[in-house]
Amino acid sequence: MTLAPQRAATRPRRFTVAEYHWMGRVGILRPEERTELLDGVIVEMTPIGGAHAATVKRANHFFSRRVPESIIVSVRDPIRVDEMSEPQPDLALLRPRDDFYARATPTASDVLLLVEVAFHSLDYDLGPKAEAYAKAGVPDYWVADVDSGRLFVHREPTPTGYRAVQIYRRGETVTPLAFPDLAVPVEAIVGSPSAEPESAGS
Amino acid sequence: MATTVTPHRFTVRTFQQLDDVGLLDQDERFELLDEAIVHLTPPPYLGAVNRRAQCGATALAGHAPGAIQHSVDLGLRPAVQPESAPLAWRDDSGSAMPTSEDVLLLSEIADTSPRHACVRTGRIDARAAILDAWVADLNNGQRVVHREPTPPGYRAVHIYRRGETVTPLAFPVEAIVGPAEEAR
Repeated sequence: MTLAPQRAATRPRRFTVAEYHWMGRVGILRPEERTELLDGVIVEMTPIGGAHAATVKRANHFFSRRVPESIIVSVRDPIRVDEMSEPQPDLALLRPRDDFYARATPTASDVLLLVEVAFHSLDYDLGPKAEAYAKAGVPDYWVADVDSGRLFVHREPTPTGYRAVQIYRRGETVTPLAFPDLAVPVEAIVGSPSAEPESAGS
Repeated sequence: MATTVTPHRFTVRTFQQLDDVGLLDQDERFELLDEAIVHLTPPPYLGAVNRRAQCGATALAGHAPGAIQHSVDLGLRPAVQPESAPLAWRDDSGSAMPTSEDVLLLSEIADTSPRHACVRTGRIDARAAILDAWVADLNNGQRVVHREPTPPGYRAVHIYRRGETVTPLAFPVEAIVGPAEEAR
């Protein structure tokens, strides 16, 4: 995560999820502005390029057909991680709920597995995002690095970060903590090399 | 591969909206800097601000209605809260945020990062065409005076050391470098 150098010595005002929502209601954040709140900082989400979108679709396609029917697959929808963070992760597998979370935004304890696709954003996804998810106790956090075809699997969340981060490559499989019978080939998320488009802009 | 995450950009309008509902009215003070809402560097040097305010108020009495830590709308990089900014007199004083044209002298205090404050002052204030911008460097007990603003930056930057005097462009008073540059 790099910020303009002249901001290095300043400390941003951090906002709570409630304040962030209020800004949306009164129009300080306009609907066409795509933002997420991470650790109190309102961040503008980069437009999604073809390779990024394809990776999300591929992961969605894979999980939707393999996890139990009651599991809710959430694609780029807000998760209220805690008081200070409400990101919109690329994909999340949520505990079943009859109302599909109509009455309450899912929280960290509803998340079984969370996947972010890193496309020009690896430092951010492995850094501040991982910290926020670990602090909130998200048990299983995967980062798919489209550029290198690697999958970073984060587990054992602690208030200061994940204690265990393991890197998987194509040809290997990963088993989600919540679904011990499901073997996920790394290709099912990051794709096979031939499927990677040239360098679709993000 | 370089990663850039863009924080949301706030404007003067949204900054004021937040202020109006009290979101910026807490124990701490905030300013809008480079389109970000940031904490005003807090009080290790509060004494210096107060002393400067006092000296300033006495020295400038009769010359300008002083504004201490008052928001100034600089147009492009707006709503900076300088430590002190004597303003030109306006009949409707108080009804609108002062803009760069109202500022006769803008002074800031730098404690831990004088370089940061100078860079910031040099860039932001020059682009806003503040004619006279001072930075009190508490670490080195000196005052950096920026004049002749041009779009890319100030053409004239002078450093005055303790004991020397500086005269603001807008006031016929002599300010001695030293008291305001004391950290405590």
